[in-house]
Amino acid sequence: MMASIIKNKKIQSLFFILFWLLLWEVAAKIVDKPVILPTIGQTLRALFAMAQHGEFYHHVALSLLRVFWGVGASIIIGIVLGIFSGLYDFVYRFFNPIMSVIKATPVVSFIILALVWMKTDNIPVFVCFLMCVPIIWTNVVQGVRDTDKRLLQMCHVYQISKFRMIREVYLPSVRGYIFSSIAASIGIGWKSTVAAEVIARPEISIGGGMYETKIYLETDNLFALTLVVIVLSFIIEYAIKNLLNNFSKGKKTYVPQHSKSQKSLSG
Amino acid sequence: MFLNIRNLKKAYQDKVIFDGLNLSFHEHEIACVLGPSGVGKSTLFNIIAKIESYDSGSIEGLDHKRIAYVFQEDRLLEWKNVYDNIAFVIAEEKDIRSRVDEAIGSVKLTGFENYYPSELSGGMRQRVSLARAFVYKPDLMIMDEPFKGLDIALKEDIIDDFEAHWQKNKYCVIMSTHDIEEALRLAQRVIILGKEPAVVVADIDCRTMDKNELRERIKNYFED
Repeated sequence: MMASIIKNKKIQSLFFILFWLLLWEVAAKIVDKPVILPTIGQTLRALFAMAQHGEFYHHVALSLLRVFWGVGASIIIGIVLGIFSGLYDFVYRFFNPIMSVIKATPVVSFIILALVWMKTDNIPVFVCFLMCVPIIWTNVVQGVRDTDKRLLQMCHVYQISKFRMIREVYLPSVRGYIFSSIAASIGIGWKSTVAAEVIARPEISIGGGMYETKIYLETDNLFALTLVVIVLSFIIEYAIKNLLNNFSKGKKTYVPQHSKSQKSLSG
Repeated sequence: MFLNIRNLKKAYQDKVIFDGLNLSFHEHEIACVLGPSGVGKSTLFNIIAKIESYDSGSIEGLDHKRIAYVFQEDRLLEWKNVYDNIAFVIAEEKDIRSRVDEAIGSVKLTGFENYYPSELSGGMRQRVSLARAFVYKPDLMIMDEPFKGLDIALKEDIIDDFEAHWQKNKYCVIMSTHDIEEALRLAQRVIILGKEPAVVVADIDCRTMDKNELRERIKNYFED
């Protein structure tokens, strides 16, 4: 009985989570300075105190909206550019340098540059977009390139137009790649949005609230806001994954078939 | 002459497939191309279907012809159901519904219109691929070992479907097979490709020859 409980993976995971929480609590007790490391209780109290004010929800909602716009724009632009880059090598070579540079650039560089270029309210959206678009683009390019060549040959024989090939062959083939890149970019989009908010400090934002905790040395509030970001990130990622799974079930997502006959085509 | 291939040359890096192949096909005929694996049957078919390039030579008679291709594998779109897979090739044409229904009926898949390829057996999938070729109303039908890997009863069934459709429409068919009996049953002409680079080693009019004699002749070529 005991052995089977210990072997149960869910119970194991719960145990490990409790272990890390306990470690946090013990460390906070040892440090005994809420300014440096608040306890779990202090963090939760700070969270409940914030949750009493309507303003808190306004901050959270606006930050979420920024992530939505940033990720949404990156999905649209990433898919369109990705499809054409996958189809035409010169388009790929045109966009590849800029995408590589964006991927390699630290997020703070963009935030600081954006401070010079635009209104503070737009900076988090812009930064979120920049962080996500190369992820979507790279995945879509790969998906287009991995599209079954034998299906494309079939389309060629039956004189299917390029537009219909994109809509009816490439897009369904790439769907799985798009879904996984959306799931991957949500987390990154969320983190970069909050980072941009901390530095750019739009009037209403979670990141702006975090910056204030630094000024007033309210570490418990910082922990509480971080907790909000983490929990929301989990919820969004979980919701998106479920949504995409349901969507792909209904749409018969493509599973590539690698049959031997592909090789014998040249025979 | 329906299709005329003259002095066709094709090589992959270090392997010469054709070095001056001459071959022609006639209207309304079923021509069966036989030959050992790797001789270049699929390459020839792909060149005729314009999905592979060739190095030099000429192919006359392809302009404005509608070509349907039944590949060795079914090449169905997994995200479209049976009906949509067949309608896919005539989506911009007229009378789609009646044509698709007729094609589905001719391969005896009525009732399976809403099934997805993943829900069908290998034989049924190949029938969908055949129906897709039928619905296209081709002038030229290329079939590359279309009945390979099917069990005997199913193969007979599909060949019956094909024969019935051809009798009605009489398009030119160029097909390959490894099964001599299949060739004997369907072909009006048997073309045997051999050697390396490939040449036509025999071009036999089956209509003027007794089946047993033909069988022996074809076997002799393969034994040589």
